[in-house]
Amino acid sequence: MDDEEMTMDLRVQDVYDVAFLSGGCGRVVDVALVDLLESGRVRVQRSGQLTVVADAPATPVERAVLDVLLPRRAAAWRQVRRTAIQRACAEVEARVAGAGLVQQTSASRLLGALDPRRPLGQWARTRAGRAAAAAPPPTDPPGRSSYAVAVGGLAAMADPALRDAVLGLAVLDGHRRPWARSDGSGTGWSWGGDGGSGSGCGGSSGCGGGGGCGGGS
Amino acid sequence: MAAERTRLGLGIGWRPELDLTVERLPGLGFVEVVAENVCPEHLPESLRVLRQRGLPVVPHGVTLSLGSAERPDPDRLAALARRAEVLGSPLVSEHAAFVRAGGRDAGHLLPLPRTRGALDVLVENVRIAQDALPVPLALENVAALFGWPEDELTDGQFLAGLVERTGVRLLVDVANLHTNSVNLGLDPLRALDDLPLEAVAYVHVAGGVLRDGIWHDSHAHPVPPQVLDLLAELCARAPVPGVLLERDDAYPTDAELAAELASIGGVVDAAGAWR
Repeated sequence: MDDEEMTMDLRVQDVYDVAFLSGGCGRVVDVALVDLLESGRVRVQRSGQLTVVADAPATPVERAVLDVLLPRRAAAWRQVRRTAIQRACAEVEARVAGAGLVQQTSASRLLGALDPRRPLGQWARTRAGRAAAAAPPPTDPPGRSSYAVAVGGLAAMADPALRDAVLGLAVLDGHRRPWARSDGSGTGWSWGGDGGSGSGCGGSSGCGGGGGCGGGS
Repeated sequence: MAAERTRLGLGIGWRPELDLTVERLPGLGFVEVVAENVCPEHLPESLRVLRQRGLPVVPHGVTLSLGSAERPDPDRLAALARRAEVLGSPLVSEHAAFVRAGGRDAGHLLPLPRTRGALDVLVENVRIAQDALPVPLALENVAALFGWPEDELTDGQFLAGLVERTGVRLLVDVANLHTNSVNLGLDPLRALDDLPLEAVAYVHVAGGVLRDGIWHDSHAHPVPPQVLDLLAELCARAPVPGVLLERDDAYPTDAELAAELASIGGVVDAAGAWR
């Protein structure tokens, strides 16, 4: 038993493996986003719009996320995430499967086919994978939350202001916080409000017109 | 009138792209917001948060066109006044410039002819604006794209005359002084000598880039040593109530912005020039 646990731990190479085992490909790219945000390489506004500050990926998963984000001047994570998942996760998925931590069974294929939102898709964790997912993750350094997010999803981000912004909640009033009931358990979370642009005025209220701000002031 | 003056400290131009960043910058004393970009009825949450913390928010207008021959538009003045009220601002700022004439908008802050006639017009318009605004007004020296052939006064003399006759406050943009120095050969130290620095409400600092011998006041590059030197020159002449960094594009990391603010504050600290 002891030997088996030791082997299982060794099969989990990095935080992305932990993320995949807990929440599938979506969780893998969530971890990449959190690392990019917490290191200052990506900025989030209260509106949830993300912008690249420094195109300096540390991993192929981050590379894939930045590649989706860069051509857009700003984008919300739910839009980036969908595209990034396809590009970013194949390598992690193959590695975790190759390590025997997940496998496809007829039941898991059926579940994956029936529910496209199923975090693990058509994969099911093996006994070793379940044990690895249940093991306590390493502690994140102060101000960082990669492992916490790998296990608990974006709701586990260390910084509540960044978390609310990413989840599209930083522009809502305090009384409505849908994130509180979602996620935490590893089964994907629902996006909250549709964080609007957060600035400027829309038409009717006599603002806007005249423009011409910025340069030379 | 110019006796009581708000101590503002170190500030940054609030931009939607930087909202969380600004909220988290250490040691921030105030922010400025482009007046035309905020809606009084729908203030960005971030500005509400900053106001709740007691941070002064200064609306910075760009479309009043106080140097135009025609009187300032009452609707635009009322809109600026409304923003000052909603934001609880200690003052508002605009430019000693014009952006429209004969019903056409230039979309850019254009320099005024520095003549006694143009000064008379500006004085009259500033008085109208002061009457319409609930808080003091500060006017900024602009970065000029060109000079008028009929200029009789220096920038400093022109603004000194304005201050003397209206009691208006000054927003001294040292990056604009640098820009005019490189592009038009205007002496920035002479400008500082001529300006009535006791009227300074706060100072603008910004970065830019030299391309083909032209200084582009881009607000998208780091603040260069020459601009910090001008800030130091200003601080050697008079105390300043506030200094604000303008950054409008190619935003660096939070850490880099904090470091840039710290170096700006360091210049004022070193001169012991906070008022």
